[in-house]
Formats: sequence, C-alpha cells, structure tokens
Amino acid sequence: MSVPLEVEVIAYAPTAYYHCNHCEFAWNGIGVTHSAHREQLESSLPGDLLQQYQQLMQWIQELLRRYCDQVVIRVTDAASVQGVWKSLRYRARRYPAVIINGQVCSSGQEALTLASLEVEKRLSSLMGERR
Amino acid sequence: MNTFWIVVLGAIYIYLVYNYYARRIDRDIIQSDPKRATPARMYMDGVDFMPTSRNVLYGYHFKSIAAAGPIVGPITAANIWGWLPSLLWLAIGVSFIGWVSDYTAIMVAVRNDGNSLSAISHRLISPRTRTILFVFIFFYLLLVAGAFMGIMAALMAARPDVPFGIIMLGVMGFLGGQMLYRWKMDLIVVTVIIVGVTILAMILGPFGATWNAEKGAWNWVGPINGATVAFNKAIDSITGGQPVMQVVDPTNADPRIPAPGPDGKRPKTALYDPETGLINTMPSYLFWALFLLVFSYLSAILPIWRFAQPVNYIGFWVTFLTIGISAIGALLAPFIKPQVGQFALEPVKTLGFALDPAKPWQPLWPMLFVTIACGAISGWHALVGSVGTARQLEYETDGLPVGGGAMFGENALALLALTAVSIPGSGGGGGRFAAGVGSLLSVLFGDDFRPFGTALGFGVFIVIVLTVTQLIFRVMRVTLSEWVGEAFPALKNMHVSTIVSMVLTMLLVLSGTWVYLWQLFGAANQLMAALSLLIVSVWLKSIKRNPAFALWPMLFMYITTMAATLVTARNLLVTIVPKGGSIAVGGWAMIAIAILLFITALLIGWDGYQAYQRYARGEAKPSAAAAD
Repeated sequence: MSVPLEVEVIAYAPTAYYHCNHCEFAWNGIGVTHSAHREQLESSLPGDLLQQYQQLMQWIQELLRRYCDQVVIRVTDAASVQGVWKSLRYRARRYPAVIINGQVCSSGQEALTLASLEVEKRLSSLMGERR
Repeated sequence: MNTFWIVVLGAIYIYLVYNYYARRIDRDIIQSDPKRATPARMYMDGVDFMPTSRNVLYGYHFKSIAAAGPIVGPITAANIWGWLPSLLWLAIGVSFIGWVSDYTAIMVAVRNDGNSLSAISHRLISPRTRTILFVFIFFYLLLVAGAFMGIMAALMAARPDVPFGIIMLGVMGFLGGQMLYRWKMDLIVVTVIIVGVTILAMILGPFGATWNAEKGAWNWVGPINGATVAFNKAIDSITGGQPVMQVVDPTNADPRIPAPGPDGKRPKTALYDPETGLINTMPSYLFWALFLLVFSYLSAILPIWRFAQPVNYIGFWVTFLTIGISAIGALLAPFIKPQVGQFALEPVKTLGFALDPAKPWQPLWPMLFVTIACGAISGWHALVGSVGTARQLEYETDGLPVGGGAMFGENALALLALTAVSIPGSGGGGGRFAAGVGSLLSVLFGDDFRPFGTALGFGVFIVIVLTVTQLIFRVMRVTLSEWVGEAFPALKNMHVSTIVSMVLTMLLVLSGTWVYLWQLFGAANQLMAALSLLIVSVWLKSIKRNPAFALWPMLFMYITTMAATLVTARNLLVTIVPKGGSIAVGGWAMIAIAILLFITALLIGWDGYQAYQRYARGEAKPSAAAAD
C-alpha cells in the first residue's frame, strides 16, 4: 500500500467560539447552542474571505473525489497558534498556502490551481514509478 | 500548617474514602456490572453515544466539571472564615456528598437509557421539575455575567495601572481585524504588532509610580497611571467627589480594599473605610463598568472578524506568553528564590454567627456550603455527568473511577487553590493571581520588575474574564431574540436584545458586591445538587435499594441551600435596599432571584417527597430500565 500524498493548507477559516463545557451545557440546555455557533460562523470572516474558504472546501472535495485515499488533507486556520507556527516554518506569507509533503507548493490567489497541477504531477509520477 | 501537610492530608482521605467507602457503595448498592450493556454500547451513534476508554473519559469529565469554581470558591471562603473551615468542608463534603452526587448521577442516567436528569426527573418525580431546570440555567447565565462584570469594573476603577492595557487591547483588536482581514497584511507582522503593543501597554501601566512605604501604597505619579488617576478624579467630580453608593464586601476580595499594612490593619483610602468596612462606589466605577459594557456590546453586535475574534486572538497570545514565562519563573524559583511561604491566613477568622441587624451576616452554616460548591459538591457536575459522560461509559464499572475519580481530582484542585490563598498575599482571586504573576516574573527579571509583572497579571486576569463575558452577551442576545422575539418583536433587533441583556446584568452589578452574586450562583448550583441527589434517592427507592447514602446528603444540601438563599436575601435587604434608587432596584432584583430559588426548592422538595412516598408504599412501579 502506497503512502498517501500529504497536503496541508493554511488559510483563514471561519471561527465559532466554544466556551468551557459548563457554558456549552447551559446553552445546550436552553436550546441555543446551534443558533449561537451558526451566528458566529456566518460573521466570522469578511465576505471575500468567506467566499475564498468556500472555494477551498470545494477544491478539497474535488481532490478527494479524484484521488480518494491517495491524498491526506489538513486545513489549519492561519489566525491560530498552529497557523502562526506553520506560517513561520514554511515561510508562508499569503493565504491560502498549500504545502505538499512538507514543501510549500503555492500561496496566494492562484494557490489552488497551481496545487492541483502539482498534486496531479506527483501522483502521476508515483503511479509511473509503481508501473 | 504549610502546603506539605495539605497535600499529605488530601492524599490520605481521598485514598481511604475511595477505597473503603465509594467502592463498597458501588459494589453493594449500585451493583455495577461490567457485563450489563451501557447506553453507549446499545445506542452507539458516533455523536452522543460512543463507548469511550475510561482514561479518556476521565479527562473529558474532569475538564467538564473543573472551571473557575474550585478556585474562586475556596479563595472566597478562606478570606471570610479562615482556611480551617474551608479545608474541613472540602474534605467532608467530597467524602460523603460530592463523589456520591457525581457518580450516582452518571449511574442513574446509565440505568435509564442515557436520559438526562431533567428527563428522568420528569418521569420519576413530576413534569414541572424540568421547567425549574430551565429557570435555573437562565439565572445561572445572568449571575455569571453580573459577577464577572462587577469584579472587572472594581479592578479597573481601583488600579490606575490597569485600564490603559485594556483600552489598548480594544484598539489593537479593531486594528488587528482590519489589518488581517481587510488589508490582508502579513500574519506574523500583524501578530507581533498587536500582541506586542498590548503586552507593552499592560506592562507600562505602573511606569513612573513610586512606592510609599509609610502609607503602604503606591503614589500614582507616572505618565499613564497619573493620567488615569486624573481622569478618574475628573469623572468623580461630577458628584463632588461623593460616592454614588456604598457596598460591603465581607470577603475583602474587592480590589478597592487595600492590602493590610505591616501592622496587619488595612489603611483608610478614598474608596475604603476600615472602621465601617464600607467601600465607596464612585462615578469612575460606573464609568469603567460602562466602558466594559461598550466593549462587550461591540463584541456582541459587530461581525466576529471585526472585533471579537482579533480580541480573543490577542488575548490568547497575551495569556499564553504570560503564563508560559511565569511557569519558567516557578520552575527556577526554588533555585533562585527558595523562600516558600508558610500559611499566613488565620485557621479560623470568624464563625460569623453574631448578628448585627444593620450589617451583612455570613454565618458559617449555611453560607460556607454555598460559597464552596465545586471541589466539595456541585449540582452542575450531575447535569454534565448525566447528559455527557453517561452516554460514553463503556462499562458500568467505569462509572466510579470516572465520576467519583474526577470529583476527587477536582477536590485536589480546590485544595491547591486553598493552599495558594493561605500563603502570604492580599486581595481576592484577581489580586492574588496578579501578585503571583508579579512574583514569578521577578524571579526572571529582578525585583524591580515586580510591579510591572503584577500589572501584566491584572491585565491577563481581565483578559481571561472579559473574553468570556463578551461572548456570553453575544449568546444572551441570540437567546433573548429566539426565546421571546415572537412575543416582543423589538427583541429581534440585535441592538435591543443586547442592550436588554446588559441592563439586566448592570442591575445585578449595581445591587452590591459580587460576593452576593457568587453566593446566589452557589445556591442555584447547590439546588441542582440537592435535586440530583433527590432523583437518585427516589430512583433507589423505586428499585428497592437502600437510599441512605444519597438521602442524608440530599437533606443536608436541601435545607442548607434554602437557608442560604434566605440569608442572602436578608443581607441584600439590610445592606443594599436601604440605599434607594437604582441600587435598590438591583437589590430587589437579586432578592427576587433568591425567593424564586427558594420557591423552586420548595416545589422540588414537595414533589420529591410525594414521589418517594409513592415508591415507599409500593403505589408506583419502577420502569424496567430503571430496575435492571
């Protein structure tokens, strides 16, 4: 069984705040958990970034549809400790930034298009090697 | 007494109670059986019902039950009555009531198909207990928001070195949102700017202030703290320097109360009179309360990315860095500054039974038992255990190590808090936390850094509380508009619903010191504990098992909670209501909550008694699931 291609994406992601379990249980008890978190998610990014995130989700779905378990995809919110750490580590300065097998592949506006080509290229070469 | 003996004592009683009492109840009364299918295994859906390793489940349950309660409660109680009564209640409470409540709440839910306590009480006792639970949860939110807002406003008004950092947190929050999401600037650069400026603003608060050894107080003559003092004076001149109201804090946790001097007495200041114990609430206090409300209002109504998210982002980094560096200081302290404090607090400060008709009354019984809830016994745990943990229990025999074990774990946390408050220091939870941060940072950066580290500690304390409070208001506005929006369409407007939530909270804040809010919250919590133990007692009776181990603790908690609500109502009546005006309105609002809790306790008690009698007489039959 071959090792899947690891694709990491650093991008601004929608955020909903979960409180301590005490509060979450209280809100669940009075039936507002879902509406409170949905309201936060919907307003957590400006329109253009929210649209960008939706495009990213569609891209991931398409990637999984085409390559199934040949790729493993992880998304990291840029505005988080992990996001800051990975941005420093991979020297990513524009988002979304796509990292394939630990190497920055592309970042910024054309990141997803370029990353699709790279994923296809790498998987094709892997298939060729196997044949 | 010192910290070592507390650790030894805690380890001994936890070992003895767990092995020789709890295990016996588990084996002989509950009769847990690893072969009996649990709801997690019967109804596994991967969402709510999921068999989980008891080690993982222990962590989940512990995290669910241990929040600020086991820390704030013991600190508050030790300040009022001394460390010995608090220690005794923690030890006895957890041994005979706390673990019983947590463990049995899980087991009763496991034996009832993983149903929540409210659903079980609906079936076993009466339909209205479910409604009472909803009332409890609403007031719980209101009391938490009120208690948090009160302590933050007092801190901002009392410490001229603190507000600048919080103002800059707001400014950097706005700027951070704009830079990250609108201007799409470099994340690392933005993070360094907004987090760096906020930390710097917090540290620079005391810059230029000088210590007056004679008065045992700071002279706030620096550029930032001096300007804050001048600003506060200008605001206070609106009333000619007179207070708008006076309150009393029997815990001495209010930040406006100065630390005792070398002679052990607290000095008289513009805000505090040690003779009468009265704390002056000045117009500047109201200003800072309004500032915090405006801060929270912006968080509640603006898109998350515009303010709340960047504020939380900065808040996280500030807290993370401060705690991380303080931890390094703590590790190095034994080698660099090996002075370890002995207990400075008296074992017994007062029993509090003497009654002065015009003063607040804090008798040991019943008030200690609602001031320390989590750590000894808490109704909240039962709610969490029945809804969450019971649906993930893989084997029935995991119930005791998870439910009982986590409660003993929380008790250990409460003992640590009690230890921390009993060594030298001053002030309430916030003050002691800040002083601790200052001391630990001074290990790394020298004694001259201590005031700056303390200011950073205060800043972090407010950041932790404020980031929670701002989101509570956001949830409250959604809740209000959904709940009563149909009946009152104006509340569907987010501005109206946010302002209504804030006015309700402000009424509570103005009604007095936060300690009354905390004790009312404790009473609501302990009412839940009594209800949980009542359900367990009725259930045990329904399946013909001896309920004594749950029944007696239930009776104690039930009577204690009811007495505590009456004492709190009485304290509000004699100390807050006579002040008149809006203060009295707030006082009456809290009295109404206390009476409401009392009436709900009466209703629950009556319904429970009738249900218990029905099962005792054999008139009602237990359900098949419950009897298994």
